[in-house]
Amino acid sequence: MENYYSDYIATINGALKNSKTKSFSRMTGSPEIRLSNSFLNESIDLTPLRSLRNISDQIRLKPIINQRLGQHPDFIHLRTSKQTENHYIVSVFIDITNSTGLFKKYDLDTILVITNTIQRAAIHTCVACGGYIERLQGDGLFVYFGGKSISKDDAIRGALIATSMFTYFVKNDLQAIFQNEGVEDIISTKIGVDFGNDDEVLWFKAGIGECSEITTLSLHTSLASKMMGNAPKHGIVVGENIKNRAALTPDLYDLVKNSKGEVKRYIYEDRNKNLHYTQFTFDWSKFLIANKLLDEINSTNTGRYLNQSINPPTIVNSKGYDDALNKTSANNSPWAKE
Amino acid sequence: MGEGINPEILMEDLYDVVEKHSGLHINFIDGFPDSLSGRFDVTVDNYCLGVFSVIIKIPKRYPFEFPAIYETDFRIPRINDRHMYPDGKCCLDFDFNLRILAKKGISIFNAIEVKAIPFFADQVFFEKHNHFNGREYSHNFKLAMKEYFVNKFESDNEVLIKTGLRFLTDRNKSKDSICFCGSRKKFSDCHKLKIGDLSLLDAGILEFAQSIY
Repeated sequence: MENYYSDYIATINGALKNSKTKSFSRMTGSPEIRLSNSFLNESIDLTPLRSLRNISDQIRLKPIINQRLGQHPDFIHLRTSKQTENHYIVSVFIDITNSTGLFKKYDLDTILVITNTIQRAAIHTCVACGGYIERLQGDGLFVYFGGKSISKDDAIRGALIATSMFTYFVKNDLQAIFQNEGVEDIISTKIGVDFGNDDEVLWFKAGIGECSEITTLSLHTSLASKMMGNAPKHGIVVGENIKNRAALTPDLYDLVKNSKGEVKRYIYEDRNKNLHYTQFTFDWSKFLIANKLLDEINSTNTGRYLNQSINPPTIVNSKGYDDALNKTSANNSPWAKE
Repeated sequence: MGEGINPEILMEDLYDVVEKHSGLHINFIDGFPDSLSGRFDVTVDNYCLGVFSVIIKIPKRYPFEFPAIYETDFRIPRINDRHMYPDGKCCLDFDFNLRILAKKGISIFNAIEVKAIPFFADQVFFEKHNHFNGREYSHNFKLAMKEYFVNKFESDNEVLIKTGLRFLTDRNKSKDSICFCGSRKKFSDCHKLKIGDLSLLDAGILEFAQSIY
Protein backbone atom coordinates (compact mmCIF):
# COMPACT_ATOMS: atom_id res chain seq x y z
CA MET A 1 0.00 0.00 0.00
CA GLU A 2 1.17 3.48 -0.80
CA ASN A 3 2.14 6.11 1.78
CA TYR A 4 -0.80 8.50 2.20
CA TYR A 5 1.54 11.47 2.02
CA SER A 6 3.70 10.33 -0.90
CA ASP A 7 2.43 13.11 -3.19
CA TYR A 8 3.26 15.75 -0.59
CA ILE A 9 6.68 14.23 0.05
CA ALA A 10 7.36 14.19 -3.69
CA THR A 11 6.47 17.89 -3.95
CA ILE A 12 8.85 18.84 -1.14
CA ASN A 13 11.60 16.65 -2.54
CA GLY A 14 11.04 18.33 -5.92
CA ALA A 15 11.41 21.77 -4.35
CA LEU A 16 14.60 20.79 -2.55
CA LYS A 17 16.07 19.32 -5.70
CA ASN A 18 15.13 22.40 -7.68
CA SER A 19 16.69 24.61 -5.02
CA LYS A 20 20.05 22.92 -5.66
CA THR A 21 19.68 23.32 -9.43
CA LYS A 22 18.94 26.99 -8.91
CA SER A 23 22.11 27.62 -6.91
CA PHE A 24 23.93 25.89 -9.74
CA SER A 25 22.14 27.94 -12.42
CA ARG A 26 23.03 31.13 -10.56
CA MET A 27 26.68 30.17 -10.86
CA THR A 28 26.38 29.27 -14.52
CA GLY A 29 24.10 32.17 -15.41
CA SER A 30 21.31 29.92 -16.77
CA PRO A 31 17.72 31.19 -16.46
CA GLU A 32 16.02 30.20 -13.19
CA ILE A 33 12.79 28.22 -13.05
CA ARG A 34 10.23 29.62 -10.63
CA LEU A 35 9.01 26.49 -8.98
CA SER A 36 6.36 28.00 -6.75
CA ASN A 37 4.02 28.87 -9.62
CA SER A 38 3.96 25.38 -11.06
CA PHE A 39 3.39 23.92 -7.60
CA LEU A 40 0.51 26.20 -6.75
CA ASN A 41 -1.47 24.96 -9.73
CA GLU A 42 -1.12 21.41 -8.55
CA SER A 43 -3.62 21.60 -5.73
CA ILE A 44 -6.09 24.37 -6.14
CA ASP A 45 -8.99 23.14 -4.07
CA LEU A 46 -9.69 21.23 -0.89
CA THR A 47 -9.62 17.84 -2.57
CA PRO A 48 -6.60 16.07 -1.10
CA LEU A 49 -3.78 15.05 -3.43
CA ARG A 50 -4.20 11.61 -4.96
CA SER A 51 -2.29 9.66 -2.30
CA LEU A 52 -4.46 10.97 0.56
CA ARG A 53 -7.81 10.64 -1.16
CA ASN A 54 -8.68 7.12 0.08
CA ILE A 55 -8.52 8.03 3.73
CA SER A 56 -12.09 9.35 3.98
CA ASP A 57 -13.45 6.05 2.69
CA GLN A 58 -11.25 4.07 5.02
CA ILE A 59 -12.22 5.90 8.18
CA ARG A 60 -15.78 6.49 6.97
CA LEU A 61 -15.98 10.21 7.67
CA LYS A 62 -17.49 12.61 5.19
CA PRO A 63 -15.32 15.54 4.10
CA ILE A 64 -16.79 19.06 3.92
CA ILE A 65 -15.32 20.03 0.55
CA ASN A 66 -17.13 23.33 0.01
CA GLN A 67 -15.82 25.43 2.84
CA ARG A 68 -14.66 29.00 3.30
CA LEU A 69 -12.62 30.29 6.20
CA GLY A 70 -14.67 31.56 9.11
CA GLN A 71 -18.00 30.43 7.67
CA HIS A 72 -18.90 27.03 9.01
CA PRO A 73 -21.63 25.83 6.61
CA ASP A 74 -23.86 24.55 9.42
CA PHE A 75 -23.93 27.95 11.13
CA ILE A 76 -23.92 30.22 8.08
CA HIS A 77 -27.37 31.56 9.01
CA LEU A 78 -25.78 33.38 11.95
CA ARG A 79 -23.88 35.60 9.53
CA THR A 80 -26.88 37.78 8.81
CA SER A 81 -28.47 37.72 12.24
CA LYS A 82 -27.66 38.72 15.77
CA GLN A 83 -28.68 35.32 17.05
CA THR A 84 -26.44 32.85 18.80
CA GLU A 85 -26.69 29.10 18.87
CA ASN A 86 -25.61 26.40 21.28
CA HIS A 87 -23.95 23.48 19.54
CA TYR A 88 -21.11 21.13 20.46
CA ILE A 89 -17.72 21.37 18.75
CA VAL A 90 -14.26 19.84 18.84
CA SER A 91 -11.63 22.59 18.58
CA VAL A 92 -8.20 21.74 17.24
CA PHE A 93 -5.18 24.03 17.15
CA ILE A 94 -2.25 22.90 15.07
CA ASP A 95 1.02 24.78 15.30
CA ILE A 96 3.93 24.09 12.99
CA THR A 97 6.99 25.26 14.84
CA ASN A 98 10.57 26.06 13.96
CA SER A 99 9.88 26.73 10.29
CA THR A 100 11.94 29.92 10.60
CA GLY A 101 14.93 27.57 10.61
CA LEU A 102 14.30 27.06 6.89
CA PHE A 103 15.42 30.63 6.13
CA LYS A 104 18.97 29.74 7.06
CA LYS A 105 19.23 27.14 4.36
CA TYR A 106 16.81 27.82 1.51
CA ASP A 107 15.62 30.65 -0.70
CA LEU A 108 12.13 32.11 -0.46
CA ASP A 109 10.69 30.17 -3.39
CA THR A 110 11.76 26.86 -1.87
CA ILE A 111 10.51 27.81 1.59
CA LEU A 112 7.18 28.82 0.10
CA VAL A 113 6.74 25.39 -1.46
CA ILE A 114 7.82 23.56 1.70
CA THR A 115 5.66 25.50 4.15
CA ASN A 116 2.71 25.57 1.78
CA THR A 117 2.90 21.82 1.17
CA ILE A 118 3.03 21.14 4.90
CA GLN A 119 0.09 23.43 5.52
CA ARG A 120 -1.84 21.88 2.66
CA ALA A 121 -1.10 18.41 4.00
CA ALA A 122 -2.55 19.59 7.34
CA ILE A 123 -5.60 21.13 5.66
CA HIS A 124 -6.23 18.10 3.47
CA THR A 125 -5.81 15.68 6.37
CA CYS A 126 -8.30 17.62 8.49
CA VAL A 127 -10.77 18.02 5.63
CA ALA A 128 -10.54 14.33 4.73
CA CYS A 129 -11.32 13.46 8.35
CA GLY A 130 -14.45 15.61 8.37
CA GLY A 131 -12.84 18.79 9.75
CA TYR A 132 -13.67 22.39 8.97
CA ILE A 133 -10.82 24.90 8.63
CA GLU A 134 -11.82 27.92 10.66
CA ARG A 135 -8.68 30.00 10.40
CA LEU A 136 -5.08 29.90 9.21
CA GLN A 137 -2.59 31.06 11.79
CA GLY A 138 0.85 31.59 10.31
CA ASP A 139 1.96 28.13 9.31
CA GLY A 140 -0.63 26.60 11.61
CA LEU A 141 -4.35 25.99 11.63
CA PHE A 142 -7.42 26.37 13.77
CA VAL A 143 -9.85 23.59 12.84
CA TYR A 144 -13.30 22.59 14.00
CA PHE A 145 -14.55 19.02 13.92
CA GLY A 146 -18.27 18.62 14.18
CA GLY A 147 -21.47 20.09 12.87
CA LYS A 148 -25.09 19.24 12.47
CA SER A 149 -24.69 16.12 10.36
CA ILE A 150 -21.88 14.47 12.31
CA SER A 151 -22.14 12.73 15.66
CA LYS A 152 -20.07 13.86 18.63
CA ASP A 153 -18.21 10.56 18.70
CA ASP A 154 -17.35 10.76 14.99
CA ALA A 155 -16.20 14.36 15.39
CA ILE A 156 -13.82 13.34 18.18
CA ARG A 157 -12.64 10.32 16.20
CA GLY A 158 -12.01 12.49 13.13
CA ALA A 159 -10.04 15.03 15.19
CA LEU A 160 -7.86 12.36 16.79
CA ILE A 161 -7.21 10.54 13.51
CA ALA A 162 -6.38 13.75 11.61
CA THR A 163 -4.03 15.11 14.26
CA SER A 164 -2.35 11.74 14.80
CA MET A 165 -1.80 11.19 11.08
CA PHE A 166 -0.47 14.67 10.51
CA THR A 167 1.89 14.42 13.48
CA TYR A 168 3.13 11.11 12.10
CA PHE A 169 3.77 12.73 8.72
CA VAL A 170 5.78 15.59 10.23
CA LYS A 171 7.67 13.47 12.75
CA ASN A 172 8.62 10.66 10.39
CA ASP A 173 8.31 11.54 6.72
CA LEU A 174 9.38 15.19 6.93
CA GLN A 175 12.18 14.46 9.37
CA ALA A 176 13.47 11.82 6.96
CA ILE A 177 13.49 14.30 4.09
CA PHE A 178 15.38 16.94 6.05
CA GLN A 179 17.78 14.43 7.55
CA ASN A 180 18.74 13.49 3.99
CA GLU A 181 19.44 17.17 3.47
CA GLY A 182 21.67 17.17 6.54
CA VAL A 183 19.29 19.31 8.60
CA GLU A 184 18.12 18.04 12.01
CA ASP A 185 15.15 19.19 14.07
CA ILE A 186 13.84 21.70 11.61
CA ILE A 187 10.05 21.40 11.74
CA SER A 188 7.82 20.02 14.46
CA THR A 189 4.18 20.19 15.47
CA LYS A 190 2.27 21.03 18.62
CA ILE A 191 -1.40 20.28 18.77
CA GLY A 192 -4.19 21.01 21.27
CA VAL A 193 -7.61 19.32 21.06
CA ASP A 194 -10.68 19.80 23.24
CA PHE A 195 -14.39 19.06 23.14
CA GLY A 196 -17.10 21.45 24.28
CA ASN A 197 -20.60 20.03 24.66
CA ASP A 198 -23.81 21.70 23.46
CA ASP A 199 -24.29 23.70 26.66
CA GLU A 200 -20.66 24.79 26.76
CA VAL A 201 -20.31 26.28 23.27
CA LEU A 202 -21.96 29.37 21.84
CA TRP A 203 -21.79 30.02 18.09
CA PHE A 204 -21.98 33.65 17.00
CA LYS A 205 -20.80 36.15 14.43
CA ALA A 206 -17.70 38.01 15.52
CA GLY A 207 -16.63 41.29 13.91
CA ILE A 208 -18.53 43.69 11.68
CA GLY A 209 -19.66 43.50 8.05
CA GLU A 210 -17.02 42.04 5.77
CA CYS A 211 -14.55 41.90 8.64
CA SER A 212 -16.44 39.13 10.37
CA GLU A 213 -16.39 35.41 10.93
CA ILE A 214 -18.62 32.83 12.49
CA THR A 215 -16.87 31.44 15.51
CA THR A 216 -17.38 29.87 18.89
CA LEU A 217 -17.26 31.26 22.37
CA SER A 218 -16.29 28.46 24.68
CA LEU A 219 -13.94 27.73 27.52
CA HIS A 220 -12.95 24.58 25.66
CA THR A 221 -11.96 26.38 22.46
CA SER A 222 -9.74 28.66 24.53
CA LEU A 223 -8.34 25.71 26.42
CA ALA A 224 -7.51 23.86 23.19
CA SER A 225 -5.33 26.80 22.20
CA LYS A 226 -3.70 26.82 25.65
CA MET A 227 -3.11 23.07 25.43
CA MET A 228 -1.33 23.54 22.12
CA GLY A 229 1.08 25.80 24.01
CA ASN A 230 1.64 23.08 26.62
CA ALA A 231 2.17 20.32 24.07
CA PRO A 232 5.68 18.86 23.82
CA LYS A 233 7.49 18.68 20.49
CA HIS A 234 5.49 16.42 18.12
CA GLY A 235 2.89 16.11 20.86
CA ILE A 236 -0.88 16.23 21.05
CA VAL A 237 -2.50 17.45 24.25
CA VAL A 238 -6.20 16.71 24.75
CA GLY A 239 -8.69 17.85 27.37
CA GLU A 240 -10.50 15.74 29.93
CA ASN A 241 -13.69 15.92 27.84
CA ILE A 242 -11.96 14.12 24.97
CA LYS A 243 -10.66 11.43 27.29
CA ASN A 244 -14.09 10.91 28.83
CA ARG A 245 -15.94 10.70 25.55
CA ALA A 246 -13.51 8.97 23.19
CA ALA A 247 -13.91 5.48 24.79
CA LEU A 248 -10.26 4.60 24.27
CA THR A 249 -8.03 2.61 26.58
CA PRO A 250 -6.45 4.63 29.42
CA ASP A 251 -2.91 3.79 28.35
CA LEU A 252 -3.24 6.25 25.45
CA TYR A 253 -3.18 9.16 27.90
CA ASP A 254 -0.47 10.50 30.15
CA LEU A 255 -0.18 13.55 32.38
CA VAL A 256 1.35 16.62 30.81
CA LYS A 257 4.83 17.58 31.95
CA ASN A 258 6.68 20.82 31.35
CA SER A 259 10.24 21.10 30.07
CA LYS A 260 11.58 20.65 33.63
CA GLY A 261 9.68 17.39 33.98
CA GLU A 262 7.14 18.79 36.46
CA VAL A 263 3.59 17.50 36.12
CA LYS A 264 1.07 20.12 34.97
CA ARG A 265 -2.13 18.24 35.69
CA TYR A 266 -4.73 20.97 35.35
CA ILE A 267 -5.10 23.35 32.43
CA TYR A 268 -7.88 25.27 34.16
CA GLU A 269 -8.98 25.61 37.75
CA ASP A 270 -11.86 27.49 39.29
CA ARG A 271 -11.73 26.88 43.01
CA ASN A 272 -15.03 28.69 43.63
CA LYS A 273 -16.85 26.23 41.40
CA ASN A 274 -14.55 23.38 42.43
CA LEU A 275 -13.69 22.86 38.77
CA HIS A 276 -10.37 21.25 37.94
CA TYR A 277 -9.99 20.49 34.25
CA THR A 278 -7.25 18.01 33.40
CA GLN A 279 -5.10 17.92 30.29
CA PHE A 280 -3.43 14.80 28.92
CA THR A 281 -0.75 14.06 26.36
CA PHE A 282 -2.22 11.73 23.78
CA ASP A 283 -0.18 8.78 22.55
CA TRP A 284 -0.89 9.23 18.86
CA SER A 285 1.44 6.46 17.69
CA LYS A 286 -0.33 3.86 19.84
CA PHE A 287 -3.65 5.23 18.66
CA LEU A 288 -2.63 4.83 15.02
CA ILE A 289 -1.46 1.29 15.68
CA ALA A 290 -4.70 0.41 17.48
CA ASN A 291 -6.71 1.78 14.58
CA LYS A 292 -4.55 -0.06 12.07
CA LEU A 293 -3.77 3.25 10.38
CA LEU A 294 -0.03 3.19 10.78
CA ASP A 295 0.48 0.45 8.23
CA GLU A 296 -1.52 2.45 5.79
CA ILE A 297 0.32 5.70 6.34
CA ASN A 298 3.66 4.07 5.92
CA SER A 299 3.65 0.79 4.09
CA THR A 300 7.22 -0.01 5.11
CA ASN A 301 6.01 -0.60 8.67
CA THR A 302 3.64 -3.41 7.75
CA GLY A 303 3.45 -6.01 10.44
CA ARG A 304 6.09 -4.43 12.63
CA TYR A 305 3.76 -3.34 15.37
CA LEU A 306 1.34 -6.25 15.41
CA ASN A 307 2.37 -7.46 18.86
CA GLN A 308 1.90 -4.05 20.41
CA SER A 309 -1.71 -3.54 19.47
CA ILE A 310 -4.21 -2.74 22.12
CA ASN A 311 -7.07 -4.83 23.39
CA PRO A 312 -9.88 -2.61 24.54
CA PRO A 313 -11.28 -3.83 27.88
CA THR A 314 -14.30 -6.06 27.45
CA ILE A 315 -15.03 -7.37 30.92
CA VAL A 316 -18.65 -6.70 31.74
CA ASN A 317 -20.60 -8.49 34.40
CA SER A 318 -24.33 -8.63 34.07
CA LYS A 319 -26.89 -11.35 33.63
CA GLY A 320 -27.97 -10.03 30.24
CA TYR A 321 -24.37 -10.12 29.09
CA ASP A 322 -23.90 -13.71 30.28
CA ASP A 323 -27.16 -14.81 28.64
CA ALA A 324 -26.18 -13.23 25.34
CA LEU A 325 -22.71 -14.79 25.55
CA ASN A 326 -24.00 -18.28 26.40
CA LYS A 327 -26.67 -18.19 23.73
CA THR A 328 -24.36 -16.96 20.97
CA SER A 329 -21.30 -19.00 21.82
CA ALA A 330 -23.36 -22.22 21.87
CA ASN A 331 -23.91 -21.79 18.13
CA ASN A 332 -20.20 -22.05 17.46
CA SER A 333 -18.91 -25.30 15.99
CA PRO A 334 -15.27 -24.65 15.22
CA TRP A 335 -12.75 -26.98 13.70
CA ALA A 336 -9.04 -26.75 13.06
CA LYS A 337 -7.34 -29.16 10.76
CA GLU A 338 -4.30 -30.84 12.22
CA MET B 1 -11.25 -8.43 -7.25
CA GLY B 2 -12.07 -11.78 -8.80
CA GLU B 3 -13.68 -12.04 -12.20
CA GLY B 4 -17.42 -12.55 -12.30
CA ILE B 5 -18.08 -10.57 -9.11
CA ASN B 6 -20.92 -8.10 -9.40
CA PRO B 7 -19.35 -4.95 -7.91
CA GLU B 8 -22.68 -3.34 -7.08
CA ILE B 9 -23.92 -6.31 -5.08
CA LEU B 10 -20.57 -6.62 -3.34
CA MET B 11 -20.46 -2.93 -2.40
CA GLU B 12 -24.01 -3.05 -1.11
CA ASP B 13 -23.07 -6.04 1.00
CA LEU B 14 -19.94 -4.29 2.32
CA TYR B 15 -21.87 -1.13 3.17
CA ASP B 16 -24.32 -3.29 5.13
CA VAL B 17 -21.38 -4.70 7.05
CA VAL B 18 -19.76 -1.35 7.86
CA GLU B 19 -23.12 0.11 8.79
CA LYS B 20 -23.61 -2.55 11.44
CA HIS B 21 -19.96 -2.93 12.43
CA SER B 22 -18.82 0.67 12.53
CA GLY B 23 -15.28 -0.28 13.58
CA LEU B 24 -14.64 -2.02 10.27
CA HIS B 25 -13.56 -0.22 7.14
CA ILE B 26 -13.27 -1.28 3.53
CA ASN B 27 -9.79 -1.54 2.05
CA PHE B 28 -9.43 -0.85 -1.64
CA ILE B 29 -6.64 -2.01 -3.87
CA ASP B 30 -6.47 -0.36 -7.30
CA GLY B 31 -9.97 0.97 -6.72
CA PHE B 32 -11.51 -2.43 -5.99
CA PRO B 33 -12.58 -3.64 -2.56
CA ASP B 34 -10.08 -6.16 -1.27
CA SER B 35 -10.91 -6.71 2.38
CA LEU B 36 -12.52 -5.34 5.50
CA SER B 37 -10.41 -4.60 8.51
CA GLY B 38 -10.52 -2.90 11.85
CA ARG B 39 -12.23 -3.23 15.16
CA PHE B 40 -14.88 -5.91 15.29
CA ASP B 41 -17.35 -5.45 18.13
CA VAL B 42 -19.13 -8.71 18.83
CA THR B 43 -22.49 -7.27 19.74
CA VAL B 44 -25.54 -9.38 20.64
CA ASP B 45 -28.78 -8.01 22.10
CA ASN B 46 -27.05 -4.66 22.67
CA TYR B 47 -24.30 -6.28 24.74
CA CYS B 48 -20.78 -5.96 23.44
CA LEU B 49 -19.44 -9.44 24.19
CA GLY B 50 -15.92 -8.63 23.12
CA VAL B 51 -13.77 -6.60 20.77
CA PHE B 52 -11.38 -8.15 18.28
CA SER B 53 -9.19 -6.80 15.51
CA VAL B 54 -9.90 -8.61 12.30
CA ILE B 55 -9.24 -8.73 8.59
CA ILE B 56 -12.00 -10.23 6.45
CA LYS B 57 -10.80 -11.10 2.98
CA ILE B 58 -13.25 -10.78 0.15
CA PRO B 59 -13.12 -14.15 -1.62
CA LYS B 60 -12.20 -14.37 -5.28
CA ARG B 61 -15.34 -16.36 -6.06
CA TYR B 62 -17.67 -14.14 -4.03
CA PRO B 63 -20.42 -14.97 -3.08
CA PHE B 64 -19.74 -18.67 -3.79
CA GLU B 65 -16.76 -18.94 -1.47
CA PHE B 66 -16.70 -18.47 2.28
CA PRO B 67 -14.68 -15.38 3.29
CA ALA B 68 -11.51 -16.01 5.30
CA ILE B 69 -11.44 -14.19 8.62
CA TYR B 70 -8.16 -13.38 10.40
CA GLU B 71 -7.69 -12.19 13.94
CA THR B 72 -4.84 -9.70 13.94
CA ASP B 73 -3.96 -8.61 17.43
CA PHE B 74 -3.02 -11.96 18.98
CA ARG B 75 -5.81 -11.85 21.54
CA ILE B 76 -6.49 -15.51 20.71
CA PRO B 77 -3.46 -17.81 20.93
CA ARG B 78 -2.70 -19.25 17.51
CA ILE B 79 -3.05 -22.89 18.41
CA ASN B 80 -5.23 -25.74 17.19
CA ASP B 81 -7.02 -26.02 20.51
CA ARG B 82 -8.31 -22.46 20.11
CA HIS B 83 -9.24 -23.20 16.50
CA MET B 84 -6.71 -20.80 15.08
CA TYR B 85 -4.14 -21.28 12.34
CA PRO B 86 -0.64 -19.87 12.89
CA ASP B 87 -1.31 -16.99 10.47
CA GLY B 88 -4.30 -15.83 12.52
CA LYS B 89 -6.94 -17.40 10.31
CA CYS B 90 -9.97 -18.46 12.29
CA CYS B 91 -11.42 -21.95 11.81
CA LEU B 92 -15.04 -21.01 11.88
CA ASP B 93 -16.60 -24.38 11.17
CA PHE B 94 -16.02 -27.80 9.69
CA ASP B 95 -14.99 -27.54 6.07
CA PHE B 96 -18.16 -29.24 4.70
CA ASN B 97 -20.49 -26.80 6.46
CA LEU B 98 -18.64 -23.82 5.00
CA ARG B 99 -18.65 -25.40 1.53
CA ILE B 100 -22.40 -25.99 1.70
CA LEU B 101 -23.06 -22.43 2.88
CA ALA B 102 -20.87 -21.04 0.11
CA LYS B 103 -22.39 -23.26 -2.56
CA LYS B 104 -25.74 -21.58 -1.98
CA GLY B 105 -24.01 -18.17 -2.09
CA ILE B 106 -23.24 -16.25 1.08
CA SER B 107 -22.86 -12.53 1.61
CA ILE B 108 -20.05 -11.17 3.78
CA PHE B 109 -22.75 -9.77 6.09
CA ASN B 110 -24.35 -13.19 6.59
CA ALA B 111 -21.00 -14.93 6.93
CA ILE B 112 -20.24 -12.60 9.84
CA GLU B 113 -23.67 -13.08 11.40
CA VAL B 114 -23.81 -16.85 11.04
CA LYS B 115 -20.23 -17.85 11.75
CA ALA B 116 -17.96 -15.02 12.92
CA ILE B 117 -20.14 -13.72 15.76
CA PRO B 118 -20.66 -17.17 17.37
CA PHE B 119 -16.96 -17.94 16.86
CA PHE B 120 -15.70 -14.82 18.61
CA ALA B 121 -18.40 -15.07 21.30
CA ASP B 122 -17.18 -18.59 22.03
CA GLN B 123 -13.59 -17.31 22.21
CA VAL B 124 -14.73 -14.84 24.88
CA PHE B 125 -16.54 -17.73 26.62
CA PHE B 126 -13.26 -19.69 26.56
CA GLU B 127 -11.39 -16.76 28.13
CA LYS B 128 -13.90 -16.76 31.00
CA HIS B 129 -14.42 -20.50 31.53
CA ASN B 130 -11.34 -22.11 29.98
CA HIS B 131 -13.46 -24.27 27.69
CA PHE B 132 -15.69 -23.69 24.68
CA ASN B 133 -19.46 -23.56 24.93
CA GLY B 134 -20.12 -24.64 21.35
CA ARG B 135 -19.50 -28.12 20.00
CA GLU B 136 -15.96 -28.60 18.77
CA TYR B 137 -14.90 -30.94 16.04
CA SER B 138 -11.93 -33.22 16.44
CA HIS B 139 -8.78 -31.89 14.76
CA ASN B 140 -8.31 -35.15 12.90
CA PHE B 141 -10.05 -34.81 9.55
CA LYS B 142 -11.52 -38.33 9.40
CA LEU B 143 -12.75 -38.21 12.99
CA ALA B 144 -14.19 -34.74 12.43
CA MET B 145 -15.94 -36.01 9.30
CA LYS B 146 -17.51 -38.89 11.25
CA GLU B 147 -18.67 -36.46 13.96
CA TYR B 148 -20.07 -34.25 11.26
CA PHE B 149 -22.16 -37.03 9.72
CA VAL B 150 -23.37 -38.27 13.12
CA ASN B 151 -24.58 -34.75 13.75
CA LYS B 152 -26.09 -34.43 10.31
CA PHE B 153 -27.92 -37.77 10.29
CA GLU B 154 -28.77 -37.39 13.99
CA SER B 155 -27.70 -40.99 14.40
CA ASP B 156 -24.46 -42.81 15.10
CA ASN B 157 -25.50 -45.87 13.09
CA GLU B 158 -22.60 -46.18 10.65
CA VAL B 159 -24.50 -48.50 8.31
CA LEU B 160 -27.30 -45.96 8.03
CA ILE B 161 -24.83 -43.15 7.34
CA LYS B 162 -22.98 -45.14 4.70
CA THR B 163 -26.24 -46.13 2.99
CA GLY B 164 -27.38 -42.52 3.10
CA LEU B 165 -24.15 -41.27 1.52
CA ARG B 166 -24.41 -43.94 -1.19
CA PHE B 167 -28.00 -42.87 -1.79
CA LEU B 168 -26.92 -39.25 -2.28
CA THR B 169 -24.35 -40.21 -4.91
CA ASP B 170 -26.76 -42.54 -6.72
CA ARG B 171 -27.36 -41.04 -10.17
CA ASN B 172 -30.51 -43.09 -10.75
CA LYS B 173 -32.43 -41.61 -7.82
CA SER B 174 -35.46 -39.50 -8.65
CA LYS B 175 -37.49 -37.05 -6.64
CA ASP B 176 -39.93 -39.85 -5.81
CA SER B 177 -37.29 -42.33 -4.61
CA ILE B 178 -38.01 -44.14 -1.38
CA CYS B 179 -35.82 -43.06 1.53
CA PHE B 180 -32.73 -45.18 2.24
CA CYS B 181 -33.52 -45.48 5.94
CA GLY B 182 -36.25 -48.09 5.49
CA SER B 183 -39.14 -45.91 6.61
CA ARG B 184 -40.90 -46.57 3.28
CA LYS B 185 -41.57 -42.85 2.98
CA LYS B 186 -40.37 -40.79 0.05
CA PHE B 187 -36.87 -39.34 0.59
CA SER B 188 -38.30 -35.85 0.15
CA ASP B 189 -40.68 -36.45 3.07
CA CYS B 190 -38.12 -38.20 5.25
CA HIS B 191 -34.36 -37.61 5.45
CA LYS B 192 -34.18 -34.82 2.86
CA LEU B 193 -34.63 -32.15 5.51
CA LYS B 194 -31.68 -33.45 7.52
CA ILE B 195 -29.17 -34.37 4.85
CA GLY B 196 -30.56 -32.91 1.61
CA ASP B 197 -27.97 -30.11 1.54
CA LEU B 198 -25.14 -32.67 1.54
CA SER B 199 -25.86 -33.15 -2.16
CA LEU B 200 -24.40 -29.65 -2.64
CA LEU B 201 -20.99 -31.15 -1.86
CA ASP B 202 -18.93 -32.41 -4.77
CA ALA B 203 -19.57 -36.07 -5.65
CA GLY B 204 -15.87 -36.79 -5.07
CA ILE B 205 -16.14 -35.65 -1.45
CA LEU B 206 -19.19 -37.84 -0.82
CA GLU B 207 -17.46 -40.84 -2.39
CA PHE B 208 -14.42 -40.25 -0.23
CA ALA B 209 -16.71 -40.00 2.80
CA GLN B 210 -18.19 -43.42 2.03
CA SER B 211 -14.72 -44.91 1.92
CA ILE B 212 -14.04 -44.17 5.60
CA TYR B 213 -16.89 -46.40 6.77
